Order: sequence, then C-alpha cells, then structure tokens
Amino acid sequence: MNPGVVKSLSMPNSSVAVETTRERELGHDEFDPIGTLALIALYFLVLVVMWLFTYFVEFVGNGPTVVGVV
Amino acid sequence: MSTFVDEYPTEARVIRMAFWSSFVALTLGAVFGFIQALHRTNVVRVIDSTDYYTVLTGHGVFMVITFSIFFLVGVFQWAVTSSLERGPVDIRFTWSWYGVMSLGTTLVAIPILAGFTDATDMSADVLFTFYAPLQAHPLFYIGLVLFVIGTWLAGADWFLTWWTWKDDHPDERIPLPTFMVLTTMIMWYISTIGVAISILAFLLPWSLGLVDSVNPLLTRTLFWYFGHPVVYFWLMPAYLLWYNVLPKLSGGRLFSDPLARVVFILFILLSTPVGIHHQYLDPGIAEGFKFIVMTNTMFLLLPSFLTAFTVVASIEHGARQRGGEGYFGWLGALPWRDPSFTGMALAGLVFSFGGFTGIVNAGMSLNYLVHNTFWVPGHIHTQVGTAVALTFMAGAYWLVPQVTGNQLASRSVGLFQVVLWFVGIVFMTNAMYRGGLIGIPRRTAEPQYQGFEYEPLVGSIAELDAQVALGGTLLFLSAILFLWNMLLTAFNSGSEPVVDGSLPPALSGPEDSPRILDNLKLWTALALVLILLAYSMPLAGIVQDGGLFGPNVDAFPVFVDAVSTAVDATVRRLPLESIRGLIT
Repeated sequence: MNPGVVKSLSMPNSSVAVETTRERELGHDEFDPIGTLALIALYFLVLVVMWLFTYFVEFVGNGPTVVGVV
Repeated sequence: MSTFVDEYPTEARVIRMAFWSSFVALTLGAVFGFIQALHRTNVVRVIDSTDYYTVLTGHGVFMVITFSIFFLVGVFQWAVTSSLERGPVDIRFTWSWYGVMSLGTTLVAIPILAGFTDATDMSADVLFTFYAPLQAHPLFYIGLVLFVIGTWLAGADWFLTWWTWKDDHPDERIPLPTFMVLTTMIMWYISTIGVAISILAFLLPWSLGLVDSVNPLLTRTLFWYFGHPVVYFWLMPAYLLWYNVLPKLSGGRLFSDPLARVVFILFILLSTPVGIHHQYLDPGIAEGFKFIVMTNTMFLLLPSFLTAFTVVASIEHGARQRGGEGYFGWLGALPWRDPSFTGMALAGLVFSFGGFTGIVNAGMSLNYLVHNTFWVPGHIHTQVGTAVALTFMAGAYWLVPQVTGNQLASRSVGLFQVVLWFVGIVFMTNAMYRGGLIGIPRRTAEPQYQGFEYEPLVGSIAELDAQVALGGTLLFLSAILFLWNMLLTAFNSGSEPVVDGSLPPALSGPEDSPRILDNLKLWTALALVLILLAYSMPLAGIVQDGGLFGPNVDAFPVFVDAVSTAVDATVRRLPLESIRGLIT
C-alpha cells in the first residue's frame, strides 16, 4: 500500500444513504484555490481598515498613553 | 460495515463518558454565564453582588477547564483509536485517567459551590486565574492538581498506544490525527510544569498554612507560563476537527497534510514562551523581556494564518467538487444545512475576527488600552467561547452519533442552535469589545459609577448593556437546545446513526513532507530552548526582587462576610461627621 494514503478513520456505515452531491472529482493538480485567495484578500482588507480605525480610537484626541507628562 | 461504536465498543464507552462529563460542566457553566450577563448589565439580579465572584469562578472553571478538557480527551481518544485503528494498550489504564480527572473536577467543584452557602467557611472565589493573594480552600488546588495529573495519564496512554502501533508499522508516518494529539500533548506536558510548580510548591502549602506567604508575581508568572498554552490546548481539538472532519463535511479533502503538521509543530515551539504577554501591565518584569515575548507572540500568528489558508482551501475544494464556481460563488455550494458544517464554519468565521482582537491584545502599546477591560472577555468569548465551544458542539453532532450508535435527535434543531449561538455571540461580544474600548472594566459585578460617564463613540451604555443581556440570553438558550438535543440523542436507541465516519485522504499527503516533521524529540528540545531563553531571566529577576515566598503578603480568602462585618463595625464606631470628612 502507498504509505502516503491516509487510511479512512473509521468504517462508513453502508445501510444509510449518505448525502452525496459531488459533481466532479478534483485532484491535487486540477484544484486552484482562487476563492481562498479572494477570501484572504478580503480579510486582509478588513484588517487594514480595522487597524486604521484603531488608530483613531487609540491615538487621535488622546495624549501619549505610556510616557505621560509628570 | 459499521460505525465507531461497533468497531471499538469499549473505547466508545470512555469517549461517551468524557462527553457526558463535559456536557454536565457546560450546563453549570451556561447557567452561571446567564446569571452574570443579566447581573452585570443590571437587567435582573437574582444573586447578591457579593456572590458574583463565586458565579464568575464557576463559569470560568467549569467552562474552560471541565467542559473543554473533558471534550478534548473524548475527541483525542476517538482520533487516536480511529487513526491508528487500534484501542489502548490497557483499557483499565484509560478508565483510570478518566477516573482521576473526574475526581479532580469534583474536588474543584466542592469549594467553588460552597461559596454560595454560609454554612461553611469553605470557598474558592479566586476566579479561573487564582491569582495570589486571593486564596482558595486547599481542596480547590488539590482538585486542580488531580485533574491535570489525569490529563497527563491520558497523554501517556495515547503515547503508549502510538509506541505499540509503531512496532507494527515501523516505516509508516504518524497518521495526522494521532500526530495532532501527540504534539498537543507535548505542548501540554511542557506548559503544565508551570502551573504544577505554582500550585504544589507555593499555593497549596500556603492555603494549608505550611508557609506564611507567597510571591504573587512569581505565582502569576508561573500561571501565565501555563495560561497561554492552555488556550491552545482548548483550541487544538477544534483544529483537529477543522483539519480532519471539516474538509470531509464540505465534500472535499484536506488541502495539505504537511502544512497541518507544520502548524502543530509551531504550536509546540511557540505557545509557551509567550505567556508574559498577559502581564504587560505587571510591574516587576522588565520591558525588554516583555518586548521579546511580544515578538514571539507575533510569530505565533503564523500557524493561525496557515490554518486559515489550509482549512479554507480544503472547504473550497469541497465546494468546487460540489459544483461551486467563481471567486465567492463557491460559498453557496457548501452544505449549509448540515449543523456540523455550519457550526464549524461559523466558529471559524468568528475565530478570524477574534484573531484581529488578539493582535490588539498582543501589541504592548495597544494592550494598555484594553488591559483588564470588558474587551478581554469579549476576546475570550469569540475565541474559546465560540471558535472552540461552537466547534465542539458542531463536532458533537457528528461524533456523538458515532460513539453512541444513535441517530442525532434533531438535525434542524441542531442547525438552528449553531446559528443562534453565532447570533448571540455577535450581539454579546461586539458590545463587550466596544465597552472595553471606552474603559468598562471586566470582572465587576456592578460596573456603574456615580458622577462618571462612559463616552461611547457610537451608541450608548444602555444599548451596550442591552446587547450583552440579549446576547447572553441567546447563548444560554442555544446551550440548552444543544444539551437537550444531546440528551435525546443519548436515549435515541434503536435508531441508525446517519453519519458517514470515513475521512478522505489529503490532496497533498504526508509523503510530500520531510520525515523530520515527525521527529517529536527534536521539536520538544527546541521548544525547551526557546522557553529557557524567554523565561529564565524574568523568573530569576522576580525571585531576586521579591524572594521565593514574597515579602510577607497577607492571604485574602474571599470571606466577604468577615470583611464586611469588620467594615460595618468600624463605620459604626466612627461619628458621622468624620466619615463626611473622609469622603469630601
């Protein structure tokens, strides 16, 4: 047996019809996770906006937080 | 063909018991959480404010120690058994660690719950962090020690199982689920040393009266040495489910087995030498050490980002196989009617938002803004309260039928429950985060002050309170629905579990990765070196400044009655005028 093939974790139960809606089989080389890239780019954009927002919450209108004037 | 319970009936029994124990803790924790959400916001106050800390301690300990870790041992036992395709070396040993954990958790619960009654002096109102000089009854510490020993034995059991398996499979790579269990347990062994020393050498002797004093900064630092990795300990079983089960539920395969291994190795290396980032505001630890720890913490974002990529890519693979198209259109092809999938996906979504708030906590300068505010429980509730807890509940919908042999009582209630949890957590935590930003403190029964106004940027305090109370109520209802569904499933005998327990192989399997990833000794050794670098000097400094047993710190067992009686007596002796003088 190919040592790389992960064995199934436990036996599927045959008596029950398992919902299968698979339309096609995509292997390693046919799959290009472009949607993941899109989602991560979106997440990154949200992060940048939130960091900008944090700047307004934290710094604008406030004095220095750590080294204050005595 | 059969399910897990038919294949491994004795192991399934242990797993079931672990799950039931965890759900009992969830019940208590949920009730306490509900009471708190209504009390803090002054909506309904069924308890006296002096009992708030008893409730808070119970909520913290029962949720993050008992509920999470009992569920963890159940998931890990399932993962090891099914991926190695064999049971433990000796099932009696397996039962013994379950027994030690149960005894430990019972001993911890007694002094916490005794805090509600005046019949005994016993109490443990020390919160989940048990900072000295808050002192609990010795039973609390003894119980915690036993509970941790139970988890150590569980780890030993899984290592033994793996060593025995290795003899029969000398050239095979460690199957991924077992790899995740073993690496998580290595992290746990390393990190629990801190809390073991803190309790056994200092807090327990101190609560027994054997030593007069402790050094609070030392015990705090030892707590946080353990206190940060413990959050990964809660999170790793959720990761295990995201990496192994979620791709299958989506209709796809894990994108990369090697990436998953790298993530877990990074957690061994980086989860412990970062604990001081919980102590940015503690005096007595030099800023330079805190800076080193901040750098380590930022590296720790790496495995979370790797996970975001790998897990989302695996889900996308499923969606594409189900016919999904486009940049975002594939999201619609996912099985959103499956409570296990939807619960885990929503948990992941909340986790990615909470990750941002974690970056705020981890930055030294921004931490000053949110330290000890309502922001922090906001972060905890998105991370362990949702990423972990919601994944566990969603995972239970998939796992419990397999370990009981019973069909899930109601899939539609399950689906409603996970969505309800998501809605509840969005209401509650957004208000917590925003409240924290304007300085509302955490761990306070009555955070309302006279002659002082919080100034929210948007909205009002009444609106924030309403959101917390509403969110807390929805979460409580969601927890009750989950527990009810589990109870019905437990008694749903005679039915067939409609779950396909098989897991497909990864798109990129372990053969694509170097064997060094499986060299657990190497990663353990490297982790120890990093810990030595991060902790030896700060610890030496703390001991040098304050001594091992501290500068005679008086214990403060939270006997509110005694304290308030003393205050009353003093006040009565003082003439009214002098009190006015004191106040003005």
